[in-house]
Amino acid sequence: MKALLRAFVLILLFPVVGQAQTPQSSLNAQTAPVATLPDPATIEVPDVIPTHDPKIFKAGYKFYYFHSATVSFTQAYEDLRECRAFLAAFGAGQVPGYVPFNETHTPPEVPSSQPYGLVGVGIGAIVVPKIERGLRSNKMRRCMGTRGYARYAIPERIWDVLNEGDEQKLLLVQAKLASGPKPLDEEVTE
Amino acid sequence: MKILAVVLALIVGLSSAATVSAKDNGGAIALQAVPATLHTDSAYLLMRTSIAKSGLFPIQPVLLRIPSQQEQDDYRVAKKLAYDAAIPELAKKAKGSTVTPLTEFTFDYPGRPNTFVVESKKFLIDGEMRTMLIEVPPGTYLLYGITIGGGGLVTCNCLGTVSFSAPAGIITNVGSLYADKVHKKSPIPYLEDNLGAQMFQYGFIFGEALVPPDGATPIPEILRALPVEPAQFEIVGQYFGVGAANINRLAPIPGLLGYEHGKPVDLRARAVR
Repeated sequence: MKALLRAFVLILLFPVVGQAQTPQSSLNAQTAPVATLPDPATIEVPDVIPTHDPKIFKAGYKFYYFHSATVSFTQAYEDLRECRAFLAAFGAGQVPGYVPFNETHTPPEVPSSQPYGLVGVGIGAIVVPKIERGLRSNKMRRCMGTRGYARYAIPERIWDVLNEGDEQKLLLVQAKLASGPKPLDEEVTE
Repeated sequence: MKILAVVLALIVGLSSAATVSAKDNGGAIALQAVPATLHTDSAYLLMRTSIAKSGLFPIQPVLLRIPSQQEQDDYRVAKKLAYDAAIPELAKKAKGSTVTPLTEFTFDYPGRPNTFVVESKKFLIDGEMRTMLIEVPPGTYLLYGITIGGGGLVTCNCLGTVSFSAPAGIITNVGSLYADKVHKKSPIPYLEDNLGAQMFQYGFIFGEALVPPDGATPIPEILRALPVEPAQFEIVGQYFGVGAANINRLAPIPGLLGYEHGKPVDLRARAVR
């Protein structure tokens, strides 16, 4: 039954095919280049001291922050900026299709039919935000993970602070944590 | 049972979406018999591909041909025309605030596709690795990403890949391509298939690997009479703005493609792109 539910959720992804994308240049236009970064000492970060709560660690694959012991604040900022640029495009682009490679391109949103009625709409309202968070997380994990960053569990409310709101502020706060002192808790490996 | 019915209905929907998009596969025609002669205005790609599936659906590589200057110009002209025509409507939607700029204008370009799916059911020689011979427009091609069943690009190789030139009148031997789900160990070799079970949350993540041809790579006997040249690969850095549910990279290739701090490196030149 669990597998069936998972298949259901996975297949739900396909109606997002061709959803609108924000060009990378546009996303980066909202964030500051490295040259103008503030002194990290002036950036306030939320409390990420380990709580030793097993529930929080268990949910660490969903709610986490990145850290690397070998990067500077500037490097972490640039890595996060590049990786978060991948979040702008959501959904599967049509193939075969025309892709103006290395040029901004915003294909149309495929109108989502609602063959599942009000129940489908209700399920979608609950499931879609989780799917979105999962997909965004997968992208960040792959992009930051290949750059050597480890993940450390935090409570959901802290994760929200780190991931919702002004993009420039998020980058600065995450970069400070990512390049700060090595966390005292265990790495998330799942 | 009700859920099962919904799942089946959705699968049917997915299949029909794939069928609609299969009319022009980026100008690629998979040959299922060896041609007597090669067209002088076409390029041909020879490759061996793995045949992994997820449920009923084949996991298939997607290639992208870098558009010509003419194609890019045509695209820009068409986009500008559509944008100019849409300005009154965009202004109305903006309600006095800034009108969406051309760079962010949503545009459905009706031009010829430059991406194509390597369809696993259309092969020249069957086997655990299928041999494909695909007639394509000449140009420079990228190992762009992976699809399931066709229709949508599920995972792109946005974090690093390779390109190669496919000139007209000859067969370019691309080598062997491998693709599968990579959240856990795959039976398909060469993949980076250790990304962790939780990477399966709500979406597939696929991986792709290439084993380039070398002197020891056998050319099928039935192609011996035709000109076959090994592909010359170039390293392609990260690319953005791709509609893909997940991002990944082409697996490292000994002596050719490596990664430093996540960035693709040409191991022949040690140059970070």
